[in-house]
Amino acid sequence: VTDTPPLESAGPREREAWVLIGALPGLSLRRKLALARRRGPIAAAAIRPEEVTELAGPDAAVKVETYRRAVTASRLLEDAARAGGHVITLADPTYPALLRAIADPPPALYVRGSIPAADAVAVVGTRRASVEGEEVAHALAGGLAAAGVCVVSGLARGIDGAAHRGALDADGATVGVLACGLDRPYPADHRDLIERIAERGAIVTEHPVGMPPLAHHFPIRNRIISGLARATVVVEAPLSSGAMITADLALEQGRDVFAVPGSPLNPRSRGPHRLLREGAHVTEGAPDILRALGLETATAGTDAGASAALLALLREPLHPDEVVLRAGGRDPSTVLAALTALELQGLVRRVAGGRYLRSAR
Amino acid sequence: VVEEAAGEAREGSVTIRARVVAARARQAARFAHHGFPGNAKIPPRALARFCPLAAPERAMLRAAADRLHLSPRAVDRVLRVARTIADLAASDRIDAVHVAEALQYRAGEARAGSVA
Repeated sequence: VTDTPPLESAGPREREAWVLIGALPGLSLRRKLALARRRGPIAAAAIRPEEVTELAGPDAAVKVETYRRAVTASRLLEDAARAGGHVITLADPTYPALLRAIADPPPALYVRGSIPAADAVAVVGTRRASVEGEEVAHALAGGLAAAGVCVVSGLARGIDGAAHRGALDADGATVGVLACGLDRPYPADHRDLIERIAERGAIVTEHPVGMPPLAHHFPIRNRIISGLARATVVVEAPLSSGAMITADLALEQGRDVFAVPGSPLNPRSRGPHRLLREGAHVTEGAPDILRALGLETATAGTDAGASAALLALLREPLHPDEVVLRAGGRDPSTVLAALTALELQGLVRRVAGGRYLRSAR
Repeated sequence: VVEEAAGEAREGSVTIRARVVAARARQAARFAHHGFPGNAKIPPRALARFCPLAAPERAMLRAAADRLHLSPRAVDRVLRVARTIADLAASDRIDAVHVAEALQYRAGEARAGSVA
């Protein structure tokens, strides 16, 4: 829509050009993307020093030249492979579609594991979370993951870590976005968590191997968290925090924002409350998000008439075959599906002999 | 005797036979080049290909597996049965009702487990 470069066939030269463009210092990402859109990635990666001087001053030109002498695309790709990762560029059809659609997508993503194709939702919040906040994030992420949604977050302590763990504990998929190279698990005490995420989802970064987690990487990293996701949920966050930056970026990217309300006595409620005032969706749990995004779990046999009839019948224990016979001429498939639905809702249960009985209330 | 109670929704055995023949034909076409005879013999690694579920149905089956304590193999069996139910209904897609009906035919382990 804006500066998004055109989709190109993934020739190895285009891939290498995007890898170089991504790591090229001295020019802003938007400027690099605009160049690549006008000239194509190969010509943009080979921009002449005089042009860089004209665009961004002589210092930038020196940076570009130093970088060119020190770094080759094949070296960046080899380093990624040595760190157990691979590289997805804007030239690749496997580049995540939602991230490609933002104004400033990373030209190259360094990935350990594989980015799930499922719908994704970002769950973010403060590092200094309350116990309740971490519980909420864990349960929320678990509910999303159990519904097949991939949970994206920033691997930090507190809410982020709880969200990743919630998804893993629900046997779901999760993606963690780093603000440094793949070889630097940061924060260090999340080393094990990072390994588990790489096995069941992906660790993603726009930085080449060897890049340390510099302070200014964190806010720009957050655009990848919100950009990979259809929506961003803020659990606990003070007004000025990384999570609030992520929420603002999500809005800029045209994505939905959800916020979990909290106590007015808790300073970590300020962020979510500001978002709620500005129109974010009130969120008490995963179902609120799934409903708003149209990702609800399929329910079968929720035909109200059939359910009521079955509940009335099952005051005494009946075998499914008897239930079908007594269900007033309803189609057997419908009756059996309705029976399963009631069982999954906990309204009936299986007792001895495979018979069904209405649950005691 | 009791069967009469099912009333007008019953199918005659001739229609049922026709449906079964049609379902078997769908399976034969599906597996023509894959060397297994029918849904029951789909190996686990081929289930994603021959019994694909859309996200809501996948979520439903996952929730059911969790709630009903189904083993991974039991889940595979439910998938194969759901594929067959969909075939009998002449549906390419496995819908939520097919999965739900298949869950009714699941094997003994859950019955034994839920004896009150």
